[in-house]
Amino acid sequence: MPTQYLIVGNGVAGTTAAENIRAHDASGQITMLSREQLPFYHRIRLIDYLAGAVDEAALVVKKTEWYAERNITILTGTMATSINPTARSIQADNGLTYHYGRLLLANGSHPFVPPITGSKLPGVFTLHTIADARVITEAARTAENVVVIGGGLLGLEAGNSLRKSGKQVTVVEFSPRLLPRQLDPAGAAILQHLMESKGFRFRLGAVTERISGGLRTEQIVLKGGEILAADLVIIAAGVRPDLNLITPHASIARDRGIIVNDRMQTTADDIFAAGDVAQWHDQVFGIWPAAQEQGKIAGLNMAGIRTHYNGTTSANVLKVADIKLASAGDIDPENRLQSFCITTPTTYHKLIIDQGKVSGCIMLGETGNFFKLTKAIAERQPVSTLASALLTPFLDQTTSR
Amino acid sequence: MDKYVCRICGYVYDPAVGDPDSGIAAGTSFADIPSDWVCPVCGAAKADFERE
Repeated sequence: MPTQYLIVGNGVAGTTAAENIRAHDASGQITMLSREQLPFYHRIRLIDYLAGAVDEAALVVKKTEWYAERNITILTGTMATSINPTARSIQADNGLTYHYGRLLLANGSHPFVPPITGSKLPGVFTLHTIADARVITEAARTAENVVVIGGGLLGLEAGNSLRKSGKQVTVVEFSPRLLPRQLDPAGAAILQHLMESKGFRFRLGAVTERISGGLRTEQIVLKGGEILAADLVIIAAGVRPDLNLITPHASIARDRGIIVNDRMQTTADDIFAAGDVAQWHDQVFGIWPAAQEQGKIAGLNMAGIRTHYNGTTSANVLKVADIKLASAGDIDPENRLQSFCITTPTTYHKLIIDQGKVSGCIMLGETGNFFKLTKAIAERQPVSTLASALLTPFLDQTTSR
Repeated sequence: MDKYVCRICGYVYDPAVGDPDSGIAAGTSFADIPSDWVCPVCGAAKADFERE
């Protein structure tokens, strides 16, 4: 009797799982449910779509043929609405019920919207899906003053996409520095300077009190009273796992995300989780490489192969044109650990060492060999064994080694 | 010919294999890939690759 695999979510975790299941189970039935209309696409490139650099067709990762070749049934525009773990079935918004032998919850995350008065006014958006990107592109045609709430990766990248088409972009960030999770204060100050010279404005250590306007957004009012003109607002304040499916079921343990073990199993029989929705060893990663790796491990285990997930080093690359920034691991914002650090007016390189092992890096400027450094961080490689080519950006060139 | 690795997701471009799904024939060096090509796994740009 062939196994019935059911996957909720058609992002990188779900699709990688499906690929790995099929590679090890030629006869199992694989069905994927996705509430989005577009098949698996590069969410990472939505900001390029926003900048008008690519069209929707270019965003799609796996075309219809890919699924057909692997005998994977994909149902787009079909949202799972409830699980029945006892009956081993999922109810969808098309009124149909789908049964499973093994279920993967890879339904991802949604943008967090802080409780700000006026956040529901027309002209206020979050950016997570292609549908969001389409409406923002439309609204941006007549907008002049953009305010981005959130100075993290998405906020800066989305702000840059809109700045390129001539808008005035102001970024409002709660933390006293930009990219608080990827940069320490010294690095953030240099990035801020670089971005200000491209025309960005920043309000740091700032809190939005309300968004105000008549029929649509017109202004942002900050705590302290400053008013910013805002005819288009993007809220980029992070994402939260989509837990609505599991909320009624105490048998599926959750914290910030759905709790999984090293084999990506939840606490309920034959239910797995992977990607943005999953929490592993107290971590919800929220990055593409982690979702991809977790999807692979989940798929393998679902197909009967016992293998373990060992985590993913937190690594990020900022995609703002002309500014090269990559950051991985523990960036040690308070400088409690040893580090090799080179600062210039326009660059910043810091390699953090914890008990002799490479544990984090910030590269602003030259980012060559970033992937190899991420691997060294993942493997906790002793800095004494690191190839000199990898160390060069962090060492004073006048010192001999 | 050198292999190149995507810093975002770890995909390795192997010139011996190319990326036929995107129209890059086997035997194409990384330098010869058009500048608008992106990582077939995660969509990162050529600029996000480093030599392996």
